Amino acid sequence: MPHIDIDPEKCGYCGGCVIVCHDDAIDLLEVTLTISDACTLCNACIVFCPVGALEMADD
Amino acid sequence: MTEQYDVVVVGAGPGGSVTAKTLAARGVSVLLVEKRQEIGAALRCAEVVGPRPEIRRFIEVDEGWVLQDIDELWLFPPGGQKIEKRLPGCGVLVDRKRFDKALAIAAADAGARVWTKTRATGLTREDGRVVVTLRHLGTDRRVAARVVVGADGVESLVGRWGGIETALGLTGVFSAVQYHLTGIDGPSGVLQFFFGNEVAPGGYLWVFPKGDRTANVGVCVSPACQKDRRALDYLNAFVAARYPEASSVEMAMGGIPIAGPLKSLVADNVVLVGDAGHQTNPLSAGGIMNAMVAGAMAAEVIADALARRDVSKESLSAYDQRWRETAGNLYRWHARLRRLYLKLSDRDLDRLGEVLAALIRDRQPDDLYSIEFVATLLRSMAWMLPKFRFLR
Ligand SMILES: Cc1cc2nc3c(=O)[nH]c(=O)nc-3n(C[C@H](O)[C@H](O)[C@H](O)COP(=O)(O)OP(=O)(O)OC[C@H]3O[C@@H](n4cnc5c(N)ncnc54)[C@H](O)[C@@H]3O)c2cc1C
Ligand code: SF4
Ligand code: SF4
Repeated sequence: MPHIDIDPEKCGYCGGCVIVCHDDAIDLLEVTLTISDACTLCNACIVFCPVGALEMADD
Repeated sequence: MTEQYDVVVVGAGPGGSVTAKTLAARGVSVLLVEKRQEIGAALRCAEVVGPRPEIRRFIEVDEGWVLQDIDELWLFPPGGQKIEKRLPGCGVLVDRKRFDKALAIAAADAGARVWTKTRATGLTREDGRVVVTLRHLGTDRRVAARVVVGADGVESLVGRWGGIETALGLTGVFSAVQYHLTGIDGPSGVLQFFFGNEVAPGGYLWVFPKGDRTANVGVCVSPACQKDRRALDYLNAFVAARYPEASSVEMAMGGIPIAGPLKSLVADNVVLVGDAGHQTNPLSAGGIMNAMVAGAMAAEVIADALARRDVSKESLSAYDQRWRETAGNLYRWHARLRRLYLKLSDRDLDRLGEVLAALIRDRQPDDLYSIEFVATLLRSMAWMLPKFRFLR
C-alpha cells in the first residue's frame, strides 16, 4: 500500500507539516509523528518538510 | 466528572500564555494546557522579539533571558551590495525557552491553572458551552468551558475542530531550519539577512548574533519555489561556505504561516491566537510579538463577551475587527508583497534592493510598518508590472 514514511532520525518534530495537510491526517505528539488513513497522498507534507523526513513509500 | 472553567487555552507559547494571563487578571477562571513536557522546548524559533517597551506590556524584561540588544539591520540582496539600516533599540534576541516559561509562570501567577504534558484532542459544543477533551499522562479528561482559545501554534487543530479552516497551501508557508552555531565571529547587535534564489528561494537566510561568538543561523524558503532542494540543503550550503569551522549546538526547524490574515479568527465558543490564527507578519515571518498582542486583545474581547453571557461568533467578532485595525489590514498588503516576491528573479531582487535602500534611508522605524510604505514600495516596483497579476 502506498503511504508516507516518516524517518524518525531526520524528523525534528516541528509540526510544520501539519499546517499544509488539508486532510487532518498528521498528528504530532511531542516526539512522535503519526500519519493516519485520512492521508490522500497529496505530497504537500513531503515537499514542505525542511529536513526531508517524509517520503512516499510502497510496501 | 467534568471540570469547569470559563476559558480553556490550548498551547502555552507566547500567545497562549499572554491570553491566559490577561484573562486571569480580569478575574476569569482559565486553564492553560500544553502538550509538551517542557514549555518552550524544543526550540522552533530565531528568537528575535521586541522592542523592549512592547515586551514590557506583557512581562518585566529579565536580563537573564535577554541575550542581545539589536540596533541595526544589514540586508544582502543576491548581487552582494549591502543595505544598512540603524534601528537603535528595535528588538532583543531572547532565550525563548526561558522567555516562554517566564510567560507561562506569569499566567499562573495571575491566577491561571497550567497543565503540561496535557494535549487537547477535540471539542464538542453542548448547550452554548464547549467541552474540550484532554489527554494527560495517558488518561482522558474532560473540561467544560464557555470559550476555548486555540493558541496551538503552526500545528493548530483547534480551529479545524471548531469549524475554522486553517490548513494552508505550499505558497502560504515558509519551511524553515536553523542551527545555533558557535565559534563564529560577527558584528554584535546586528541582524543580517541574505536574499536570492540561490540562497533562500522565496524567503531569506538570517544570521542573528546571540553573544559569546554564537549566532542563530537559519533559512526560511518557500516550498513552492525551492525546486528539488530543501531548506536544510540551502542552510548547509551557506554554512559550509561561510562558517566551515563552526559547530552547531542546537538545531531548530518549523513552519511559518505567511499567507496573511484569516477571514475570521472566531467561531461560536472558539477563538484563535498567534500562529494558529496565521497572525505572523507575512513579510518578516516574525510572530512572537503578534501572538502576544493578539492574545491580550482576544482576552479582553472574551472577558467582555463572558460578562455579556454571549460567546457566539458574532459576539466574539470584535476581536476580528480589532486585529484588522491593529495589524490585519497591513498584513493583507504584506501578503501581497510576499506573493509578488515569490516570483522575483535575482535581477529583480537586486533592483528591489536599490529601491528599498533609497526608500528606507530616512524613514523612522514606525514608518516601515505602514500601509503607505508598502504602497510606495509597490508603486516603485512598477517595472515588474507583468508580475503584478499575481498580487490578487
Ligand atoms: C525557524 C523559525 C524561526 C522563527 N524566528 C522568529 C523570530 O526570530 N521572531 C519572531 O517573532 N518569530 C519567529 N518565528 C515565528 C514564531 O516562532 C512564532 O510566530 C511564535 O512562536 C508563535 O507563538 P504562538 O504562541 O502562536 O505559538 P507557539 O509558540 O508555536 O506555541 C504553540 C504551543 O501550543 C502547543 N500545542 C499545540 N497543539 C496542542 C494541543 N493539541 N494541546 C496542547 N498544546 C498544544 C505546542 O506544543 C506549543 O507549545 C520563527 C519560526 C520558526 C519556525
Ligand atoms: S515537517 Fe518534517 S521535521 Fe517537521 S514534524 Fe513534519 S516530518 Fe518532522
Ligand atoms: S500526503 Fe497530503 S494528505 Fe497525506 S499526510 Fe501529507 S499532506 Fe496530509
